[in-house]
Amino acid sequence: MSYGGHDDHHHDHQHSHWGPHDWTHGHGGAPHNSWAPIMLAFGSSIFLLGFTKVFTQTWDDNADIWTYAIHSSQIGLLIAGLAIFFAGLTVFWRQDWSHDGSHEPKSEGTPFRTIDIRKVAVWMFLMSEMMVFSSLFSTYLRYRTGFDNCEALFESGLFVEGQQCWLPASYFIAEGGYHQEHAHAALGFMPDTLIPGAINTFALIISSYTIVLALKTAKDASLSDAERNSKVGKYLLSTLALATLFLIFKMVEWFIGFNVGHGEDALFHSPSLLADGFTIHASEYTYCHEWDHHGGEDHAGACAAGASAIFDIRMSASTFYVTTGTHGVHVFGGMVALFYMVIKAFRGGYTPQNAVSIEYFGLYWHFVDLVWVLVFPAFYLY
Amino acid sequence: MGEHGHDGHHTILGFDRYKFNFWILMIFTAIEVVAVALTFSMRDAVSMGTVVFILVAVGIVKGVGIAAIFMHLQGDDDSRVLTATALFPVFFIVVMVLFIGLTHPDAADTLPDWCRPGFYT
Amino acid sequence: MTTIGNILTGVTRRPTSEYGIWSWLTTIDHKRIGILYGVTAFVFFLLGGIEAYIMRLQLSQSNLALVSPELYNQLFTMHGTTMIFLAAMPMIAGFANWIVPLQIGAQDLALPRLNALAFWLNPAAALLIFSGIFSGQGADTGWTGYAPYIVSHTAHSGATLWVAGQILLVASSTISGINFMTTFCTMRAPGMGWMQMPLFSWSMLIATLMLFISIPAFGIGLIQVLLDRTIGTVFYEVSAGGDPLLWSHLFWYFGHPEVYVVVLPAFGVISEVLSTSARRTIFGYKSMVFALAGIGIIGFIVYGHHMFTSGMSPLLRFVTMLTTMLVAVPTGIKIFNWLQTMHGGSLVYRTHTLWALGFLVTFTLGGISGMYFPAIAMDLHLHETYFVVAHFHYVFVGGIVFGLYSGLYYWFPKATGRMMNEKLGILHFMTGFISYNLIFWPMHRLGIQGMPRRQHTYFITTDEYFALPPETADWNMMITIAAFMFFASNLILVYNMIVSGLRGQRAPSDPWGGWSMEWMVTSPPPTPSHDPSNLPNLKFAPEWAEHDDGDPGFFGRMIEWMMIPEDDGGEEE
Repeated sequence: MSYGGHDDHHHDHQHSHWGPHDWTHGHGGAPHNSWAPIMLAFGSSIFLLGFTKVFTQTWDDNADIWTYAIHSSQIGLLIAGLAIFFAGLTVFWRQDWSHDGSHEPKSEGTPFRTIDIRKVAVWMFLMSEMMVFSSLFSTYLRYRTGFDNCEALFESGLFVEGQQCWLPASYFIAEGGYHQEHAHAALGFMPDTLIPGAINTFALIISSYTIVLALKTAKDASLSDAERNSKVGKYLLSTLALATLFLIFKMVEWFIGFNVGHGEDALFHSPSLLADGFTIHASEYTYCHEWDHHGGEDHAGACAAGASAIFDIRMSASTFYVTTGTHGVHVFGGMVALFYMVIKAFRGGYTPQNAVSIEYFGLYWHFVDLVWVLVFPAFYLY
Repeated sequence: MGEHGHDGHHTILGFDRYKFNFWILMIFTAIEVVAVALTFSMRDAVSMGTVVFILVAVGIVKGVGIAAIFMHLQGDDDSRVLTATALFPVFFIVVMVLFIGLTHPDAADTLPDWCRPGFYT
Repeated sequence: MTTIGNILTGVTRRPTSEYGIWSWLTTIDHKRIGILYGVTAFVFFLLGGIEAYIMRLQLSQSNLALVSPELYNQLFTMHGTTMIFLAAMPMIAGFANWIVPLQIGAQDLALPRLNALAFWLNPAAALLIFSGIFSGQGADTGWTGYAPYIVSHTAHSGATLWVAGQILLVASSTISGINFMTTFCTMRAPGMGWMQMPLFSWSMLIATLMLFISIPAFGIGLIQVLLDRTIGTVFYEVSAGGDPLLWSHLFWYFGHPEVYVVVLPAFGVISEVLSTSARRTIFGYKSMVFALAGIGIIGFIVYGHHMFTSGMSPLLRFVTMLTTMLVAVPTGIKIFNWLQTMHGGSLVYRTHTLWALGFLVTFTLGGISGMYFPAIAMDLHLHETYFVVAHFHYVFVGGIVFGLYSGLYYWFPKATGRMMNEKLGILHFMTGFISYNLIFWPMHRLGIQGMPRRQHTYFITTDEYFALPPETADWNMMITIAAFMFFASNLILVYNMIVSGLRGQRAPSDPWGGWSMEWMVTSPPPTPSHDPSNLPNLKFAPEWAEHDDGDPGFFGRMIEWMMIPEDDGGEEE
């Protein structure tokens, strides 16, 4: 059989050479057992159980609306689920730790012959992820084409108070410098509200490059082991740092907002989306038609009479937060994996033989970047 | 490793492939952000259609750059079969976008009557 | 050996015990995982049967108050969910786990630990799905979970956990799909080209491909509903502009390929069983493969037929009407090929053969009754009636369950090393087949007469608006009695499996004279399943040598253009 020609000296027993090997077991052999699967499964289950207990909705019969509550007292179950899940993940990676790449299984048969089996597996995974994001995009497309745009609606004059309409996220972000009460554009041509998103885009692209550099360095046989792992560790750490930056800026953008300086002479002033009222519960958003600073002067204070309306913009918010949030969850997943890889690199675990595992992660990471390439213009800019 | 980098594939115009791609991505992202920002400050002069065109064009360039170069879908020995794998879901995505994304009952509001569902003479 | 430190080290290091409960909880061997899937699936199958039986008791007479409407709603919801997601799919996964690596000459699946994860997500999900029932607030939305009811305040609170559990099942199916696809693409034995793969493996390949491509749509819909029901997004909140049809689209985009996902493995089993029983190769192997692929692709563009009465886009209604009619063609090709296989062969009648023959009858009938639905005018009349129930039980039970029974009797000796009792098997078949038809055949008529589904009772009236004739009550009573017989017949199977497993006659490697690779190893197979230093290869089969004419066809040329050149094989670096 043709597993890369490395099979000659391991046929003293029945074990085959597929899957990561736990070399500390003594003689070569793929793991026969693992606690990780059952821990990961039940950890997820308990986490979801906890999630539904922490975030609840109750029907208010009198007001005929849902009321939402976050029960922080119930968070124990959620934390327990996460703990079990991450313990399972630790077991999983602990078993992979000693994988030194000398038996990376390769495919037989057409048309994937000689390609690493795990690489094929990553591409299969990416196929399913493509379907995940296309479902999210289809939802967005369906609702966006089906709703009337709030601005157009206001201008037509044919609306009722509290009507549902679509205010795209770009109204708050890309146009945020022009439509909010306290508009600000420190850089002149670009509103401050677009800055976190723009930085995030650059951050992800840079992180795609640092992971490429990590892989290149890991495969570089001309370096000493220590030097190689130190460099790989630094590149992986940069990728992790950039991913963390991405999520931090996302939180800044969504919930925190950022201000540099104070009052009238503030250098940067970017209210968060939450502060601007773009939330999933915004059933009574006050849309002000006159806060439009294109080429005009700043406004402050209340909107003029007759220039505002109350609109229900929850759907646009829901699609925005869930789609970009799903992408963010994928970034977080990548961060968890990067955390493991950084530790492994700084403990000297990467050699040119097992550098392929960085490549597998890299494929996932590039995919996450690619999705952002599609999400950013579609949700932030259009 | 199915791909054993032939040296000729590692450079584009004399630059390292990945570095070249990186800078292209950075430049196009800057174009994208600036274009949109400027489009909004010059709102009356530029139409939504132009905005969409720029976004789509830049998106394609960046997407292809990431897929072909960072994800090795071009230039390696295994690129063809992996590209076929990566593009396999396109049919299903198209079906989903057509059947789910573009069939909202109110999506056809602004179309002329003869182009809307349920029009019978 | 018992200090905390040793225990912890034992947990994080690889447990190596072969016996005992820990070995089952931690196993990553595909054969054991197959057993785990099979046993849990069977338990849920019986549970789902009990749920159905309670429904049948309620429906045995008109206007009975055995079960409240609220409980009835929970019962049909859980019956559908249990049977499809916790019985059928895991059972198929169990068969696939067992048989696929053996058939294609691989030692295990590509990603063994993820294989185990995909299994354990099933009981973890069942925990959530069933939890609501004990509080009396189990999901009552139907297994299809239609919006906006599923996000309304009148839906039971158990719906939230039902959705959460389903999300875990989506994850399980995705992982499973990736694993199998990778295995098929990369771990076939030397000499086994695509067109030499056994038909059960082909059916599993197409099924898993369909599964993991279609299920993310369902997953996203579920996440939307979960968020709607917890943090307050408004995807399906009508007052905020939520569109219930979005759920229907996302659900059925998955839901229709899903039903092919469950039936295709049954097709695969039947191909294996009939060819072995007829003692000849399957007729028209190539067209069988293309038919499977055709069903796989067309199955994605037909789903609108579940939504004809929903107010969906008229253009899409028209398109899916035509494509639904089209999808019958590849299925019909398969049926004709099976018939020709038997006609050109010499049939040996064993239990698995009988179930395969039963399948041919009932699945064909189910397929024919299904063909009334694409005609939208007929669908408007038949939608939500017992005609639909009859149709899908004919294809689900008469198709999938019978196919899996056939597979069970066929591969039981391989898996356990013991032969099953033939007499009990024939008794199981006779009682099961007859009682099954007594249950579901009359439902066609009841449906045409207008008896609605998902309603806890029915009324015999003579007014012109809603006239169910008096014999409706007689038919329903007979159906309930037949349901009892069918349930009892399955206990014969359980008894047979237990007794044969413990004391059955020892089975040889190849009791039936099959010639695919699983018959080349011992019963039960060793671990790893095929000796890696002596992998089976197909060069011995003379008929395959004839096919190996060296000139690839169209697809062959396309594949050759795509892949890494031959001279690089195995010698890189």
